[in-house]
Order: sequence, then structure tokens, then C-alpha cells
Amino acid sequence: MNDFLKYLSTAPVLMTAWLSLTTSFIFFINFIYPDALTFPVL
Amino acid sequence: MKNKISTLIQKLKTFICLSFFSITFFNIQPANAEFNNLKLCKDSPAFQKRLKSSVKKLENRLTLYTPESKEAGYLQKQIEQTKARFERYGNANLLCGKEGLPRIIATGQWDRANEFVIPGIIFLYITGWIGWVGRKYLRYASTTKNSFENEIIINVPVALTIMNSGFLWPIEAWKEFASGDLLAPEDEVTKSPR
Repeated sequence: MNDFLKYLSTAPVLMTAWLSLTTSFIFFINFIYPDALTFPVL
Repeated sequence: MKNKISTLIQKLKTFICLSFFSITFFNIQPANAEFNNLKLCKDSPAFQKRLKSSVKKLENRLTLYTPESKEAGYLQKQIEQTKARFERYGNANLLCGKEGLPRIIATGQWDRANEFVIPGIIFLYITGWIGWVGRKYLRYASTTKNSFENEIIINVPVALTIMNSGFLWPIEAWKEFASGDLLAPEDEVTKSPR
């Protein structure tokens, strides 16, 4: 288990996981608020 | 001689910093260029024409499919999205060119801050955050026993605490700059022989 955690903590694996999270987040934002051209000011 | 140069460099740095601040904060001149060539998108006939032609194209494709089909549903959704987009751009007080495409005004004037200034500041803030916490982690790693290993195998709990504490980075960076910790001292910077 410890070795597996260590594997998950290596830079390439961690970066893949982290960037997947970031892209999903950006996809999601663009899905709920598409075609943003300006910053929405209320 | 060396001392003189370093005090000169110090003075220069202060001067650059101060002039940067005074330019940013005290010398704000209205940059209200007159956008004679541009028109509010709402009132621009070319913009309305673009809306019509975009919707028309989708409607033409819609005639190829039966109303119950998946494709028709998709196209219907596209039409709605197109209308929503044009309506939002119109309501956002965007300016359009003669060809009916919206323009982003990047002069920095406050009435159009939402087009460039605010997204720009957010961009700088987020990139600064990323850079700041990366630097902080590297500095942390350099203090540990296996500094190289800590750069390859990330110490996740420490990295997460550093990442979460980075939101105040402009203040922290300023504090470090003031205390002289932000920049490496002259004698630590390696120079190639010349």
C-alpha cells in the first residue's frame, strides 16, 4: 500500500491526475456557462 | 567598487518599483478612445444578420432529419445556444465591428474592465499562485534531507498545505521582497567566467 501511494506521488502520475482534475473543472465551467467572452458583472 | 555597484543596483530596483507603482496607481489617465468604427452589438445590423444566418444554417440542417431523431434534438439545442449567445453578447454592452463581430476593448478603462482588465488580473493572480506555491515547495524540498527525491516524489500532504496557503501570495511576495528574501543575494548567483 505504501509503495502504491509512493507511486501515486511521483511527479508524472501526480501531474496527470492533477491536470485531469483541472481540465474537468474547466470543461464543467464551460458546460454550465458556455461562450464566455467577458467577465460576467452582476 | 563592488559595494558601490550593489547600492546602485539597490537604488535602481527601488526606483523601478516606485515608478511602476506610481504609473499604475497615481497616473491614471482616461484612456477613453472614441470607438467611432464600433457600434453596440445590440444596435448593429451586421450582428443581427449574423444571428439570423447562423440560426438559418442550423435550421436548414434541421430539415434533413425527422423531428424525433437524435440529430434534430441536437440541432435544436444548438439553435437555442446560438440565440442565447447572441443575446448575452448583445446585453453585455459589447462593441461590434462593421462585420458584426464583438470586440474586446483592452484600453484598461473602467467601464470596460470586465472585458480585459478583470480577466487579466484573475489570470495573473492564478498564474502567480501556481508559481508562488511551486517556488515555496521547491524551497521546502531544498531544506529536506533528500531534496532531489522530494522533487520527483512529491510529499503530497506538504504540497497540499502549501497550495492551499498560496492565496495570499501577493502579500507574501511583497513581504519577502521587503525583507530581501525574494531575490537571491548577488554572491549566490553564479556567473560564467568572462
